[in-house]
Amino acid sequence: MITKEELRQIILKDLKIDSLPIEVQDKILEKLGGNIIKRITLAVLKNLPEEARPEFEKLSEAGDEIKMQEFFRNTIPNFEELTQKTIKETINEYKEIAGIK
Amino acid sequence: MTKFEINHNIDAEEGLPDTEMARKFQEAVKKKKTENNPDYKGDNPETSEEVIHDLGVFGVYGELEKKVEEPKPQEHRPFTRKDAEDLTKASFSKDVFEREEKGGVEIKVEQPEIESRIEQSGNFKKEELGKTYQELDRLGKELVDFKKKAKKTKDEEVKKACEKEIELIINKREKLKLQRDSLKEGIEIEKQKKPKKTESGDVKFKYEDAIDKQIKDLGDKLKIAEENTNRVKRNKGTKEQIEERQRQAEVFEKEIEKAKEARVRAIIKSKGIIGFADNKKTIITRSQVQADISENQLETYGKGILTNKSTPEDLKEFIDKEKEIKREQETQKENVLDLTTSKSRQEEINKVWQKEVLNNEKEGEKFDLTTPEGRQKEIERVQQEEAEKLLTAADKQEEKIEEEIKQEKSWIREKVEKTANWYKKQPLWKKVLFSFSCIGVASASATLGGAAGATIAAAAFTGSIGQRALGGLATFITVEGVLKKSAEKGGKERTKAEAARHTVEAAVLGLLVGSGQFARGVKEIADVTGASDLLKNAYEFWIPKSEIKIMPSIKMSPEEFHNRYPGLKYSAGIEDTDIKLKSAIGVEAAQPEAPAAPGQEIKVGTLIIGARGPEGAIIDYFRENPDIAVEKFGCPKELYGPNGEITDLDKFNEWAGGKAHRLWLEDAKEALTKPETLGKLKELGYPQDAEGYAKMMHRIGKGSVELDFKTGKIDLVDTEYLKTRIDTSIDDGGGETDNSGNEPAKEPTGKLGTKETTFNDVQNWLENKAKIDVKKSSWLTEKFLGNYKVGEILDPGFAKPQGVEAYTTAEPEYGSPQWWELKEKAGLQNQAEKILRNIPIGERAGLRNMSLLDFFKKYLAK
Repeated sequence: MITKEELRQIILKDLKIDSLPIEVQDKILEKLGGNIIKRITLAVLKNLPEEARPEFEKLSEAGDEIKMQEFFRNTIPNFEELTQKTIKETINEYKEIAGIK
Repeated sequence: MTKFEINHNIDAEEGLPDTEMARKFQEAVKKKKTENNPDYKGDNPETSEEVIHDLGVFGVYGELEKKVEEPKPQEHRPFTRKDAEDLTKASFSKDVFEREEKGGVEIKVEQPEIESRIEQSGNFKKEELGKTYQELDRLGKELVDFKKKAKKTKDEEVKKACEKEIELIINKREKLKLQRDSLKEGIEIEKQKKPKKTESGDVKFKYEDAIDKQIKDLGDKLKIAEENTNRVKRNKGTKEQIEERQRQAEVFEKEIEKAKEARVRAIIKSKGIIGFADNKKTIITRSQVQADISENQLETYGKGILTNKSTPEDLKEFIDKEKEIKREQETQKENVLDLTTSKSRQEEINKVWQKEVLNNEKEGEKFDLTTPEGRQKEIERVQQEEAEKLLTAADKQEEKIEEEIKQEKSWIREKVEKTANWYKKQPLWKKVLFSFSCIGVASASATLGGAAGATIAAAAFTGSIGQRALGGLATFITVEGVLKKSAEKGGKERTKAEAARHTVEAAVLGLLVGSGQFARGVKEIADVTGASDLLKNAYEFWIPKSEIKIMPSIKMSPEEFHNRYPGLKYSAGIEDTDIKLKSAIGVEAAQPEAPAAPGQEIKVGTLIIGARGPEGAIIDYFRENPDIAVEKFGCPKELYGPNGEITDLDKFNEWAGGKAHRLWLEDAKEALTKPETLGKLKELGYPQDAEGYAKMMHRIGKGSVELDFKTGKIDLVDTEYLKTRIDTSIDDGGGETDNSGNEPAKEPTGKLGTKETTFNDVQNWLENKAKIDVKKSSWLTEKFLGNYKVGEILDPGFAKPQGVEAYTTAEPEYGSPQWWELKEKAGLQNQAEKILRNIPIGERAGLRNMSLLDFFKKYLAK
């Protein structure tokens, strides 16, 4: 049975930061998360048709995450693929810059 | 079997002139042949030629002819850059293969590396090729002559001698063919070396291209050799003949392997990744050569001395180190290095680089590594460096992304900035969790990772990160990804069952972390894996009792919780994940109970009996649980679409209604054999037979249906019934009296006649048949019936709580206005369904949009 701690270790090992102090691990993860979120935003908005922007604004204001998902699925082709691909590429890019093999 | 090793490395036959080596070799061959064949009289010129020829074919001949200047043993001299380069080359050329010569002498020949052959290709003369052809031709003629002789002669000895010669000639010819091919190859490579003029300029010669060509040619030769082997086998050749062909094929196979390795080396060279050093300084990156180097090959290079790229700067540094070593050697004579052997040189290389690495690491502050404090400080320093490297990488990436953002229009820039600023304001734990989940997304399967990625993206835009998207979902996808990855890394693909188990396990972990959003996704997961009923079982596998908290249902007190989940932590005040879970896996009508306790197998679906009675509850359950309906109760698959939607409502209603009715009848039959049922009927004033049981069922106050997935049967549990009414149906013009004391009876208002049916007729009928007090009802008006469509009341949500109440599974309080309304609605729904069942399927088309009033008017009149 995998414990939460083991799980955490597996993930940290993936980034080769498992031997670092926790505060450093968190700092790296925080920065990486920031980069990912920017890339996702960029990727999604670049693929959002201009005519869909008003609706997007409305949903952003409303904060309804479920409707937002539905909206993206209806307006952006392969939305799910796009997000996963973007996340994956950003992580891989980071690893490459950091020389993590 | 004697082995003779001829090695063009300086280690073999040290100090002997090469011509002497060749002589020794020939003597050894002669000796061996004599041993094997007492009749052997000695080498004739042809045999000698054969031996030399062998060597020539495999590229050794030239080496034997060379005068190699050997270093004097034990002579200590500085290890130079050239030595290092030679050593590099030597390590590249460990291409050794064995070949067994005819007569049983095994010759181990060191094959010049393929690169050398390419480099030396310019030395091949076309004239040599011509001579080889001439020799082949000559031997061909001899072969024909001997074959003729062998055929004609009656003398057995002559015949044997001829056959022997024939065999010899065949072998010689085959070797000549190899030489011919080698020469042709050299000429071909030479052609390739010349830059080709193209529109975009000169195309330079590339080793890898030449090697590719060789691999292809060798493949062709291998094919021919294999065909030859088969041909000899078909023609029932001797064992020796077959083995000889097989050996030839093996040679080509090995050659191909070597060529492939040479190709890798060529690529490394072309990318400037030649060099030497220790593993720590490895600069050969997988990304640089991954496409061309297999994992094994990369490992091989990683472990050897050729693990690093040596740039000119590296070499300069290395030479400086050499000088340092030399100085050290001079001052410490006891440590004089022997650089005359490859082993000692290798060791020295490693030492130098290790030293350098240590020096590099100690740049700046130096610590005393002999003390624990010093070592600890050194560890911290190394960690600090590593952390700085990784953080700098994140900063660099951020700069890169910022550049990308700058390229976009203002609208996009603003939104990205807004999202980024919002992210920055989040507490650290949310940001960390976000990254965790992203790593999970990256490694999760497309289906789940995609869905999770979408959730994360939507959460980012709506500012709901950490509340829904993170938590359960994050853990779930992460675990799923990790499990998948680890299974694949273990060298075996996940089986479907494993995948399902991993997903379920991951799902349960996610659930335990707790997320409303997660619960919504569970149904999708269950659909993907087909493992909805495994979901709860996985608790047993995953729950570390003392650690993981479980979400109690809204109504569960700490006491109830501990009774149900002994040993687990109670976590109060968190949203009701249990209920959402049941909803998500399609047990919408189930009682609001918590998930099964560890070890409890899910065999039964518990359905609350609503106003439409047990059958209505069962129909609803089938409607929302396609998997169970199909797998456990035999519903035709085609009645559900890919997402579980009903494809044909009429057919579904027909099937589900029929199935529910049969299940109920079966249960009724069994119940009527039980004394307690008969006692209950008597007590409440119903006849003690099937009809009475049915009537009692119409007056059910509360209770549940348990659907047993294993037996396919139902059981009614915790039921309470109302007392009977005195039935005075519309047909006999009688009235009915409510004996329950809960609901006043309505007087019948007469039969439906053949004249035009009015609302009053419908009202009367509903009051008597559906037991709906229309006059008293706050909602059941003529207007309502006129506005509502048939399709709308058939919707399962019609007779269920609306608004906020829809999110709980608690029934309205008995006797409350809401309770009455639901009961009346269910009655109306039930009656409409009954009428529909009696209408031919073809006629039902179009009824969906008919108003209820018209529907009742039309069909009640019939």
